[in-house]
Amino acid sequence: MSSLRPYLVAVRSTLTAAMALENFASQVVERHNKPEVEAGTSIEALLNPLVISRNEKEQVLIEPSINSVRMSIRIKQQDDIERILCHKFTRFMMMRAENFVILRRKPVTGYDISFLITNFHAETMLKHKLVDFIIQFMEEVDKEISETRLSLNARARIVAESYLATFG
Amino acid sequence: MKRIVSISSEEDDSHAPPATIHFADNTSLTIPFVVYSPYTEVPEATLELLSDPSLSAIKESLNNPNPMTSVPMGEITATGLFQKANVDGVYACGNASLFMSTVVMAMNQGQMAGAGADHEIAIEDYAAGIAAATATYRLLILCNNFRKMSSPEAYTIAQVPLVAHSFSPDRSAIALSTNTNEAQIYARQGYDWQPVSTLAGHDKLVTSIDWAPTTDRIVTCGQDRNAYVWTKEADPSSPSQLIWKPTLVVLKINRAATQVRWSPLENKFAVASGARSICVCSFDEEMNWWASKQLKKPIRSTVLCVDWHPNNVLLAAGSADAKARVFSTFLKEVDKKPPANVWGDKFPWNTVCGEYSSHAGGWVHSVGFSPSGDAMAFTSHDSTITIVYPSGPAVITIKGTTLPYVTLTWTAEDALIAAGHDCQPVLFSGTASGWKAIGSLDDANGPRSSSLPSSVSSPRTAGAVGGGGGPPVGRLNNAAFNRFKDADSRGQSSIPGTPSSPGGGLFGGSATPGGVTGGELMTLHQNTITSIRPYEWGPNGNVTKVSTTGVDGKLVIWSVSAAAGLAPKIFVR
Repeated sequence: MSSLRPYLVAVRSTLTAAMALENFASQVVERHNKPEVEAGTSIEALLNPLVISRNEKEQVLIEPSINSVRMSIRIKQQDDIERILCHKFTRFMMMRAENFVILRRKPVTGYDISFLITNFHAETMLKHKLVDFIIQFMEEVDKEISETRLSLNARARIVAESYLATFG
Repeated sequence: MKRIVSISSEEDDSHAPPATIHFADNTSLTIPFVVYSPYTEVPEATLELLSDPSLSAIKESLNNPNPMTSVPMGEITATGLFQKANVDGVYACGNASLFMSTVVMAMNQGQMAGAGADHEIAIEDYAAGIAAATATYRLLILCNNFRKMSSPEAYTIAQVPLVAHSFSPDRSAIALSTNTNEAQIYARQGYDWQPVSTLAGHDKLVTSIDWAPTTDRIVTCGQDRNAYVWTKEADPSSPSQLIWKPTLVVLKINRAATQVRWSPLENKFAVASGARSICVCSFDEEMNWWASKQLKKPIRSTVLCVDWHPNNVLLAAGSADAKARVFSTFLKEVDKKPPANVWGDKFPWNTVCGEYSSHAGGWVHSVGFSPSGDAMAFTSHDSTITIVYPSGPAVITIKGTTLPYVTLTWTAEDALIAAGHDCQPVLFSGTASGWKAIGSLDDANGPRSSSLPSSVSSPRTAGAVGGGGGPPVGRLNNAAFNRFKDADSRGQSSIPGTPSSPGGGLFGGSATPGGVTGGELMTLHQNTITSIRPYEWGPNGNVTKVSTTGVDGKLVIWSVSAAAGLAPKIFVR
């Protein structure tokens, strides 16, 4: 398996470039200001989406536009337990999306979790800090899931042992 | 009591000593030296100039431990006498070359008359307050540190993005859009900017502001599809007060207005809009409003930027369909027929005199005509700057290796400064035969004129950057270990200014411009620079200072002449 570092470097630099955002009022609807990547009504305001892939299980989709960038992460899921954990974990986060500010309530199809960064986020928060946050999230989420899986397995073993001990 | 008319120096663009003070009675005084004081320590350090000076008296007074130093005044013509004298924070220096330039600020009866910078000599008229026989003028020193004279002036205006800015004709006030539906006017008060009035009228974000330099009118436009022209009028409730009154502009657009610029003669202005059109407005005396006429063909998308040709007729516009165009905005009732130039011979309304695509199809963020109008430059989202010479015809594209530039200004016929998402202004220079980047005006290793704001929202402090786990223990708890851990786990280099790793490509090890220390960028602006405007011109008409505002709420005034020393720094970072 390739190292994590080049993957994160690629995500970091792509995200930094994609976060060159500006305030852009809708040119379709009067007096509206919508994230163009979500509205998708002005084709010229969108840039080419791009996928950064570490392997088939770990991918990042970055969809930039003139005033917003949508970033979707496919989190590594080795087995059924990780799949369940990942689902629960992302669901927990996305139910509280407003507290995470840049988190999208629903992931893009085919991905586990999506972020939507608009120019308003890039204005109130430092851009390089936002990139740091996402990179840190990507790093943490893997660690969190594998740690939870380990403790789950350990607990399952203890439970099984103590249960079977009554028969021993 | 003498009134100061102006202050000049031999090197006009630099205000370097010896400086000459011109008085109203046609006499003048030459000051051969500069006096400094770190004003944080000695705020009132003054040098009092009395009549009939003797150099020994000056020397003596400088050696006086009392910081309130008095020096006789008169025709001081001696030069190069003091290399450096240190008297409790008061420094005198006769060697001008030690300091590249000094900005001199004149004060008449306590009123500031000129612009000042980090290094200021203020001359204050104390005649009224002090015995008339002795005191005439004092030198008030506001310099807060020994720094290179070319260092930029940085002001943190607000903790909100500054969308657009425009200085008043005398540079004592600035109109700003602070990311709200109201434009603010800030006035310079000492070393600070204070809000003095509000231009309230828009009901959505004010996107652009332009302050006309000769007619002293402000035009603003906003995402509420409106534009207003603001003029100074007496307040009806208290006639001594001046307030800004809006005049209606009938734009007839149904999408956001994005940018507005006065024409050079200030009898027209152009409003770029998201309605795929540009409104060219002129004043209608009968109706007492600004009427507009729209340029529509062949624009296919939001117009993001406009700029006027010096002949008051041609207009450059850049749009989100990745095109920069030059239009004729000839209005019979306003304009005289312009002579033929490199863009064409005849200019009827809506003539497209040129259409240029950005190199790789990026949105055109900014356009600008050169001072003569014979060349046009535009920046686009593909990180390129394109310079067009229609007389050649030559189209030169400078491909950048940084984030896109969103704003540009020409400083001379052969030089321009662009700035944007890279958070630093970069000087480019060239002619029709070729252009190249000279360097950044932002010297990462140079001095900083203000401490960086610490209250900017930062989710994590510098100490927590090392990763989410618990603090590393024992021998693993050291800087080198954390640095490698950061590099390995997060693809981040924490060493400021480290060159990109060989395989790192565009951004390599340091993804953010100039690297990051303690969570802050190494540049003065901490976020995208939204607009760059010329601030000061030299005697030959070239721009000597430019001002920038950014999303980080900072206003910075940069000295372009500092770029002379930039040559060795090309692409170091």
